[in-house]
Amino acid sequence: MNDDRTHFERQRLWELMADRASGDLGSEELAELHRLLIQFGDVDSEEVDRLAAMIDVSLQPGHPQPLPQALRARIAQDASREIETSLQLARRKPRLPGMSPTWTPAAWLGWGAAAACLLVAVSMWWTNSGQKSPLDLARQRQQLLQEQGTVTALLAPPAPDGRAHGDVVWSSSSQSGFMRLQGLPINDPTVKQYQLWIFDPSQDERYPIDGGVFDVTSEGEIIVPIHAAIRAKQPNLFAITVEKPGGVVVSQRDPLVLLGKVAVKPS
Amino acid sequence: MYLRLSVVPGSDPTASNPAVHQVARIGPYRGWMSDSVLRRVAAGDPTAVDEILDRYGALVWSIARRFSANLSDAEDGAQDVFIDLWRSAHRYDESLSSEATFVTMVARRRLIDRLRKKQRNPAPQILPDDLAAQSGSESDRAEQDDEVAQVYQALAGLRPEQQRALRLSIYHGMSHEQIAANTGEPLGTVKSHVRRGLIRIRELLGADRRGAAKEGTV
Repeated sequence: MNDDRTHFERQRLWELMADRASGDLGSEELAELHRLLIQFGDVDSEEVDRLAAMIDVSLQPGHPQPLPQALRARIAQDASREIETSLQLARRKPRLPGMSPTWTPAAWLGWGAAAACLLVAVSMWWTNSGQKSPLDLARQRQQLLQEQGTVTALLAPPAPDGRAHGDVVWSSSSQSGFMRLQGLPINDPTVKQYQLWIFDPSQDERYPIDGGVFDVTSEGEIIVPIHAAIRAKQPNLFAITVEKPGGVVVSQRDPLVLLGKVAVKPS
Repeated sequence: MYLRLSVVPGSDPTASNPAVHQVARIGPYRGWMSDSVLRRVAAGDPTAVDEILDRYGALVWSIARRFSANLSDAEDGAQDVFIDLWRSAHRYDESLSSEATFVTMVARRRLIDRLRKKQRNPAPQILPDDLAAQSGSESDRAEQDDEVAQVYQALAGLRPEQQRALRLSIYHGMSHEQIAANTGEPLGTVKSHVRRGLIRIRELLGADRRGAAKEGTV
């Protein structure tokens, strides 16, 4: 009986991966996919995506149009920034964040309360913080802050002795946002990466939305764009964990380095 | 019917005679399996940027246009894809795929994600170079990539309805609902074609690789 069920669930997992690879997966199905990927840890979660990519490549035209020159120049300009960031990273000795206390599922659910206690102290620090960040990201972040419906959250470490802090600006209407972070240890992306998690009431709390992986490349303030894996309708909590390179589908939440509740706007 | 309504006729030569074309159209991407330029990007080599753009710029541009409603969207999408690529180059594992497959996977994810965020379905826009897809030459074939060749042959071995569903879904970026609407097939049938087609290709590739491994041990 159990074998039948396991077989059915594995088959279902493959169907969902096929739907995702062909761009046809709804948010409910995505949550189901995440659940099954946890259940079947032996499954290569990218296998079908790779297969779809191979099919795509095999059907590519023989003499495709090149990138438009202006676009290519813009892309190269973006790349220069990214490469420079990588070079800075290479010049520094990688350091991993200190271990945070192990968090049980119950503790995970209690993040909101813990964060609330820390927000006041972080808020005081943040008010006095005035370091510059890359101009383009800072400008975009500022623009987003001025948009109607944009929410913010102050990020603080779960442990009182943590040095890192930051904030999040998020717009549900444009599904875009930025993290502004300081004090997180520089990471070696070949060993570990940071990953943002977005808690949204529309999602099962056990499976927060993947907000994207990112690297900390300097000891000063950094601004990181948020890339939510699925639509975050009304986020109420953001959290950052340290994960393996490329991130994970579902986090074990250890170590958890920063978290923060969305600020309630005065009525 | 689906071709007339959704895809510019002639845009997909494999639809008419897969056996004729085989892997003729991968010539411009030859060399994908060699000189891991992604590793150089991951190592922070700024000179690798031009090489990446030379090798994969047209590939990404082709995918971006297929998965975008207009050229402006396609340009934004292509920029997003390359930013993702600079950031994820270190994840490339040559034991799992060619660089082109990795680049395509990164591109598809970003572009599908953009489509989902915009809450609209992809509008298949077949642009001129896709029409030129029929012009793959014999010399191109000689340069074919084994991985891509195997996939193409596996695709050609599927039942026609599965081939069509995969081609429209994966290459032309049509949703399952759009395919159902344009082919007249029930949605469940379309989903089944896509899923079973992918499973069959996986099986065929597995058989190929087992066969190759067996030959290698003789």
